Amino acid sequence: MNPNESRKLARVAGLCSLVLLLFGIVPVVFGLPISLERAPLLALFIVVNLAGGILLLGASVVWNLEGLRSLVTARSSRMASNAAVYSAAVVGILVLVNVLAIRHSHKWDLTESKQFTLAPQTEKVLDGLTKDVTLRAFWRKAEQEQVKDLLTNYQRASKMVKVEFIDPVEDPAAAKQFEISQERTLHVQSGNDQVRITEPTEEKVTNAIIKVSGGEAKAVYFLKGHGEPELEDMASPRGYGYFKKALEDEHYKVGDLLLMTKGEVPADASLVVAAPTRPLLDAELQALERYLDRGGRLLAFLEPTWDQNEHNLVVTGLEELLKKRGISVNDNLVLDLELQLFAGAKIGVAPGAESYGTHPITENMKEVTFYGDFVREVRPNPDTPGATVTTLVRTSSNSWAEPDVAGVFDRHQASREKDDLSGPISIATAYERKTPAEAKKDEADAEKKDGEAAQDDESKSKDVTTRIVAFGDEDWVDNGQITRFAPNQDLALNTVGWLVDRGDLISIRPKKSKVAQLALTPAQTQAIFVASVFLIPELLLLAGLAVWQSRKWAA
Amino acid sequence: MRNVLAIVEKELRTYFVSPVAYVVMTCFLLLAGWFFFNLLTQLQQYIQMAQSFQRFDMLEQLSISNAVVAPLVGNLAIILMFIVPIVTMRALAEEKKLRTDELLLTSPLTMGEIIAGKFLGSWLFMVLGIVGTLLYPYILFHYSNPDPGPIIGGYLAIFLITTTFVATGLFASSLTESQAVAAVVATVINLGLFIIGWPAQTVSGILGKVLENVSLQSHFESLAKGVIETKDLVYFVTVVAVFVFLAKRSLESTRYR
Repeated sequence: MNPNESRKLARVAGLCSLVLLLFGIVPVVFGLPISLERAPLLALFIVVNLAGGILLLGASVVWNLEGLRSLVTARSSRMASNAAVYSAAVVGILVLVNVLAIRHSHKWDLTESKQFTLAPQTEKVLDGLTKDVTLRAFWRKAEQEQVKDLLTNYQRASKMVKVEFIDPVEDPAAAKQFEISQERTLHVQSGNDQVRITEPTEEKVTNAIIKVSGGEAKAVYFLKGHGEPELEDMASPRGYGYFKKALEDEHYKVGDLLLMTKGEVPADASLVVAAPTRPLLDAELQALERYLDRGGRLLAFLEPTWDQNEHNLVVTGLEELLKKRGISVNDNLVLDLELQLFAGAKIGVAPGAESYGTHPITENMKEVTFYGDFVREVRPNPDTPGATVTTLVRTSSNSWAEPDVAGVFDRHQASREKDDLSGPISIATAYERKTPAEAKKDEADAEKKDGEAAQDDESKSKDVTTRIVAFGDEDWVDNGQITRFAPNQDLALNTVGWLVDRGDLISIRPKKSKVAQLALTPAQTQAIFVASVFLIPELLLLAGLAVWQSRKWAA
Repeated sequence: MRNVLAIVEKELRTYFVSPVAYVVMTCFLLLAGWFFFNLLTQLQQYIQMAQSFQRFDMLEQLSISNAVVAPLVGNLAIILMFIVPIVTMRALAEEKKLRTDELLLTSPLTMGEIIAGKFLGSWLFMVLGIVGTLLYPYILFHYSNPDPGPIIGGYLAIFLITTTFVATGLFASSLTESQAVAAVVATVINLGLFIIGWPAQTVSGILGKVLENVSLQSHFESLAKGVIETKDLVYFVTVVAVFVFLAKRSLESTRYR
């Protein structure tokens, strides 16, 4: 082969080798899987390209050794390579500048509602963090955009906040490890404390952070031994397993309370939940009274349970306890007139409620909650001295309170009489009583005289607040209903939240962009069309013609 | 400085007598106006629909910022991607074609002044065209209640995008004497900058992050929402600097050939 031919071949080989190497390297750079088992064709493609590229490169070098040597030593090459190095250095510096800028980026939120910055309450919470908080977002890759903005804001605002995005479909082991039952769940953890939230808003996320970094979980005790639904039962529709899980996801500690053997409500109880279908013992009722008097919190579900033998509703004893405090639990059933598609009008025993009282628990409730089977009226006595008693939930105006309970349970009949109490009927009531510190102190002193243990120092100087919420139904938070009706869960958690009185939780008004006010008449629409689409371009063209013409005249 | 201004003046004069420039600018404003009008009337329809169906949750999501400003900026970015190369294609390529580049390079003007002048000339021309779109915010404020933040951010985004495309156009123009090739190369570079971030969604790890931070789209989207971040500003300045620098190098290299 003469030198000319070999030089041409070398050139062709060199260029081809570059192409092969490029197509061999790009897939690797883009992180495509090169495993022989999963993608054998791709692996083959890459290997062939790389190998072929190297071979051809080698061949082109061999065929043009002379040419290469003179190229490398030539002055113009040195200058060219100097220039290349200089260019690379400049680009490199600019890239570095960018990397720095990304890490230390400063943000100005120009929107009116400041919706892309964190609220000052959140900043305060983040400033006060003493332990690391990890936010794990279980979203599918394609949907991660939805929460990326919000969560990155948290990460940027505090060094102690770490954010991880995990695709639960790609990494089911992680989802299992953190007990994620549905996608679009945010797992918030600090130390051993965890909270899971769905539909994260800034308010929910910040509150979750408050909960996990606030240390000890609040204890919620469920009364046991009177036919209550089982806390561990997640299988049957009547169990309370999902209610328990919802509470634990909100960082509450949930446990049973066998008051008849325990004797007293535990000192660490932040809330007692009672859903009895059989009578309580006197000793238990007294223990509850004592608990309430020292600032206890009670959530009572008064299920109207039919006693076959006595031929009336079971009297649990809670009714009297509640009546003393202005909550009237009545012996009736709230029935609703339902219109079923083909069966016509039917009397329903599972009413829905869309009307809520004025109370912190329900102030944001907009959706319908569902109750039943069998609900009874629970109404407040507004003239209760020293306490605030308010209705929380009301059924619709199609409902009524049926006093003939026997008729419903024995004969499966009911009819709406003229005298029956007509809807909306109150089926849930909230009670709050603040005992001022002085009164408590006197009581404590009196107790000391009797030789009983004095109250702890805190209650001597603090107001004692007792809160009770009573619902006329226990099924609305059972497995079947709490999983089917999200508003039921919302209301339940709001209720527990108010009862437990987490004073440290915050409320952040959701920030929205301004709602557009746009009401154009057809005339205005046409005007806008002409102006924005045609006017300016037309003026521009005319100006252009003028210039063109003036040049012609000048020539 | 005076030298630079002299070049700028010459460039602008060339543009204003060139039919191509007028046609291109007219097309740009026609398209921009069309997009604006459609987005506005579509928003009006959505509002009326939401009101008649009492869908208050939907109403809350409909704002001028979401429904008009952000999409308009996105659409304009795409139009500019194709239009700016046509405007800048003649900046350096024409000189080479007419062989006036020798004159330019041997003149007392420094390379930097030449590049600066050419860049500013094209840039000013584009800015004048964009000024023609100021009618839209006027209409918005006149007939509705827009949030000024995203509008400011949106215009900043448009200016930065235009500046970027002028830089890529200048670079492309410096590579060849054919204006058509310059336009095509510039368009390809612009497209590349735009779409390089697309695989970032599926590619995980550090490469994904790199891609996203190199992509044009991710940087102007937050601007169009009304959030100004220094990292976005630095990005644009950097990209412009890189391409202007490359254009200068390319021009200098012709000196050695």
